[in-house]
Amino acid sequence: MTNLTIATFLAFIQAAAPAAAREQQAGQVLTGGGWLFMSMAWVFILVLVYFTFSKVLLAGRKK
Amino acid sequence: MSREKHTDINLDGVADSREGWASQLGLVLAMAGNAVGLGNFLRFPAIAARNGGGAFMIPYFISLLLLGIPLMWIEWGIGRHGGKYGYSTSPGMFQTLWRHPLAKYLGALGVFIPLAFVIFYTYIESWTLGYAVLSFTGQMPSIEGQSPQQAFSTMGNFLGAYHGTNNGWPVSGSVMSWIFLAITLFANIYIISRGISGGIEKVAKIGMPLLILFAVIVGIRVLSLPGAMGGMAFVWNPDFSQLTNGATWLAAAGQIFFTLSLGTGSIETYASYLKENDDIVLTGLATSSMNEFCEVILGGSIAIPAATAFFGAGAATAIANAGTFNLGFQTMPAVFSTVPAGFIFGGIWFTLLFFAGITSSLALSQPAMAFLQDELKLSRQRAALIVGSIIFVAVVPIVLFLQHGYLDEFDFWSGEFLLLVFALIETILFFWIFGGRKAFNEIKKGQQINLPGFFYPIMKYVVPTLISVILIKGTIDSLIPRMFSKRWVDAAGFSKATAGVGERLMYEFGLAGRTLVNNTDITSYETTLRWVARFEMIALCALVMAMTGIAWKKYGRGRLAKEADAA
Repeated sequence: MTNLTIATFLAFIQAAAPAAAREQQAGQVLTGGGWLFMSMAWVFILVLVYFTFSKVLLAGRKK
Repeated sequence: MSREKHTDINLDGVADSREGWASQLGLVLAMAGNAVGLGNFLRFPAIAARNGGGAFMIPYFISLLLLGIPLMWIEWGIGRHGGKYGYSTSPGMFQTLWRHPLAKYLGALGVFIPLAFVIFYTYIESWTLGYAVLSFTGQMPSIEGQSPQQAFSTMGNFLGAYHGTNNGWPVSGSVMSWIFLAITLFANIYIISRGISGGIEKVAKIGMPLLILFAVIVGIRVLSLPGAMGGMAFVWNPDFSQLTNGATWLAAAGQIFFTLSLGTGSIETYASYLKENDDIVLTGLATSSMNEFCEVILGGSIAIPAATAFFGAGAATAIANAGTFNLGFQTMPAVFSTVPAGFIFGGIWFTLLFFAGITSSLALSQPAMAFLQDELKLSRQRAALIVGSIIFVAVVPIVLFLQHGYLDEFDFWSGEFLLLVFALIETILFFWIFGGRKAFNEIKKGQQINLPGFFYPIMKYVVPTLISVILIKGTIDSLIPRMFSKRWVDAAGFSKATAGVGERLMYEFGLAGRTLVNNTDITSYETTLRWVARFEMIALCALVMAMTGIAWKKYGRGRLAKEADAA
């Protein structure tokens, strides 16, 4: 099963990404939308982590 | 909250000397450890990339708000409510919600599911330990001078050798894989035998910060690779056309469900060690936020960017579709083999996966431990020995028949399908049978932040509806093809035209013919083995249900709920 998966994967890669793959990667960059979504998701999560953990740690100190 | 060994008086007047958490932070880290697993680092980035990149985060966060966090609060609520009566596992907890003899047997699923889950999960966890040791000691194969495709193939052969699936024998399992499995199993059993605050909480307090530190180190190294930002672009550049696709929304809801370890019964058990007025609203939210940090920020910045840097952006789709194990155990070692001091970064990568794995496997083992201790009155050491023995006996066929779909079958039933079934049952019991308002007020008890009222209709109506939709979709897409897409034609000459009565019976029970699983046409031999796996799980489930019946008859465990009613 593993060999079959590898063979399928390699065939896919060779079809989808021949020698020009390295050139393509240089052309693929984070767009403005990509930066926006990434930043918003990261900020939302970091604020949530800060908000919850500051309260958890504060409650721990009080006790 | 500090009550490493508390002695409360239950509503039935019996002293409850069950263990407890030493601190709220320890509980949050243990719960986060339960949620953070291999999926955070390997499954999430691939799913996000396949379903619209940055745009995927819209249904993802909506699902978090409408399904993940509310359902998690429901599980915390059920757990703390059951703990009040001295129950640590769902058979007793369900009995307190629904006074019907069937309730305890429905609850037995909450002991069986995590036990079946941890059986195969421990084996996967042992691969991460094995690969960490092999990486640190420089035993990984050299791919010097090889093209990315050749390197991937080399790593695939190495993984096959580790699993023992390419040894030419009908059964798999290499000496090395057995050794690391034994070490992993022993470590798990030793830790759970140390108890809640002395074992699980201590490991979480050390393991979770180390996991985050290691992930940050690996993430920085990966993002400094030339071409890694192409992977970030692949994960994050939004494709808004995907938002009109229902499958994208279901993928987001499914990812949220599985990433928070919902429906396993382990959250209820951890929450049962809380006092009646300990907060669960803030604590649950902190757990989710930690899980999202590990998944979106850390998980989204490692595997896909690393793979893209190595294989090129043109192969990103293939990488994302190749699956969790290929990404983690073939692509990543290949990437680290090409960077300076790569053996260290590879070792750190697999160590962080091991921490992610062990904190989850401990949580999955705890319901069975608590069941044996509380319902069958066994000592902690004896309970740990029994749980360890069950896992060991049950994992043997998974190791031996790995290449024939034995692990896949365990994964599908106990790691996916039954989780949804159990989550649906517990939501209905809590919000529809126990009572919506009572359940909502139960969750709000002792809250350190205010739980907004709009979560009430979400918990009562939206959560069960969403779970039902995912369940129906899973049944149509996975269960029905897996069970019923039998075909007569067989490479061994098995055909409808020539079949005798015996062969026809075998066919009807799925023991012969061919079946389509995961879009792969499998042989009757593999079909048979998959049925053996299913029977193994059925036997395990029957055992847990029988023990539940014994506990209720012999030890009068049902009495607690009845006396609670009177009180």
